[in-house]
Amino acid sequence: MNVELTSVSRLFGHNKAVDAVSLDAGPGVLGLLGPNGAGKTSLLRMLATVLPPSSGEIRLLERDPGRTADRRDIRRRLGYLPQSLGYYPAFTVVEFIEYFALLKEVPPARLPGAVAAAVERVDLGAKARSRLRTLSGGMLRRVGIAQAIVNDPDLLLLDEPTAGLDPEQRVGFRALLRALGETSTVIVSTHLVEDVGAACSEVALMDSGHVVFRGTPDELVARGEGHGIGDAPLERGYSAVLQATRAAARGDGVAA
Amino acid sequence: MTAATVSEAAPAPSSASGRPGRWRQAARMLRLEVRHSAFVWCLPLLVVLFIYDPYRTAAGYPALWPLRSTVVLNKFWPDMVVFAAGFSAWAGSREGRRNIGDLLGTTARPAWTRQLCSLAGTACWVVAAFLAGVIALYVRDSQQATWGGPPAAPVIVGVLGLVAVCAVAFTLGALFPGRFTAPIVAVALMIITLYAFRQAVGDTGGAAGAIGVLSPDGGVPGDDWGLFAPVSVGVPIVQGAFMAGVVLAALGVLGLSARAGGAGWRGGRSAVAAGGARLRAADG
Repeated sequence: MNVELTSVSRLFGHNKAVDAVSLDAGPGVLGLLGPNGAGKTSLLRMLATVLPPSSGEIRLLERDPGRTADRRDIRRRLGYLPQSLGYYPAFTVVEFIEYFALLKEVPPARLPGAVAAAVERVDLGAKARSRLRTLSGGMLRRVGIAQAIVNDPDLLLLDEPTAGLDPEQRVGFRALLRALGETSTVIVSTHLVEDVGAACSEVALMDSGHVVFRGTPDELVARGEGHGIGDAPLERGYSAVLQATRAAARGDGVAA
Repeated sequence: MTAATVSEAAPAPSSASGRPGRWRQAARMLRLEVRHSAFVWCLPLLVVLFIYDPYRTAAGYPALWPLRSTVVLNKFWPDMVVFAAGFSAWAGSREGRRNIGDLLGTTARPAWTRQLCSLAGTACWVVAAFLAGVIALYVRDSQQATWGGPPAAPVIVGVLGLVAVCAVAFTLGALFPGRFTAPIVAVALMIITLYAFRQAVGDTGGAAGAIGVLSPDGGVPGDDWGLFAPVSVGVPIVQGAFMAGVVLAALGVLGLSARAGGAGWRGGRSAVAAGGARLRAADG
């Protein structure tokens, strides 16, 4: 397993953003769904080794991110696209991706090829020499994806990767995700259930810091059968699971 | 976007130490940082300032190497401080201003080495500009002076002083990132070097006098001035050691910042900071 979480929690003050989440994932594409404030981004940041957990155990790529040497090794094999991509406006597309390849310690001999491949895979070849300040939001998102995959990561974490992409690019991106998922563990946090249906082999649904559903997209669709809310089958499954979870929580609260 | 075959993944290196390409990677990073240093934008203004301050001032002195070379530290160096400090602080605050910390935090290379490359990118330009100015001064002097040669001490002390200013300003920028950090740091360091140290030079007794001698700005107390040996032999050495201590201490503080890495790195950097403080204490 590339990702193993055991009762992982993360507190921000008194707010429990992630609450005793246990999760494991091997190669494939795992979609992380959930409403705003469900804890998806906090979970991804912990998986990205940016945020230490308040409690629980995390093992990534069979290593302990709490240990410095292991953490560095994990980071060489990790790709991460944050929800809000910071960038240096004066850098060109190629320079920005090369910069991250260097920071990820891609061997110099592989560097030019890796950068060129990453640029091509996000269809930014024509803009390779353009400065980032001149790119549109969707193009910047693709630059972010390119920097995430430049080191051919074994673990790829993407937070809202399709935000700002046009429909054609989203279709292409889903194909890229499926290809990456053949050899790597890809975890995609998104609000767009159609991305999950098209690209993910598994889905985890989060609400209030908990994972409330784990299964295949088909299983999530099955949960929504006979449920009226939502236009697409996956949306109906999504809302059905959330409603059932919240109803159960309210019932517990009343009982308590 | 293409879903073409995933290119062959290279085996992950087991350890950073002893990796043959480590220096090549650092050199490539430095090349990127040098290319994108904002310091380039102030070069035209620096050239104008150089012509109207140190270059013209030196032309008014008799063509004697010891006399004319005083403008290197008394005029040219203070002119450069404000730019060196401002642009170094700007570079230091870049990660915070651009909200890129999370993304950089997931990369394998320790934050300290990444920041050192960024600092070096600015410091290279600062030192290059300073040396270019000194060369221009010395070339003219060599055509007019009838004997002697260019003194190296003011150049070495000036370079070390500028690197120290860059290191302190960069560290302040990294610790307190914001769009106003750079101008505040530039003005603060300018005041410290131009006002405080100059006041200290005026007071030749006690600790204040010692600080004045240590500062590259202002040279040495007037009593020691002589036509052929304006600087006593030990002063540049003390000044150089002091500046080296400032550099080490600033880099140590930079390394101790929260995003700098793991315990091992932190321990090493603590030692560097302690070494810098020790050097400064010894100088004092």
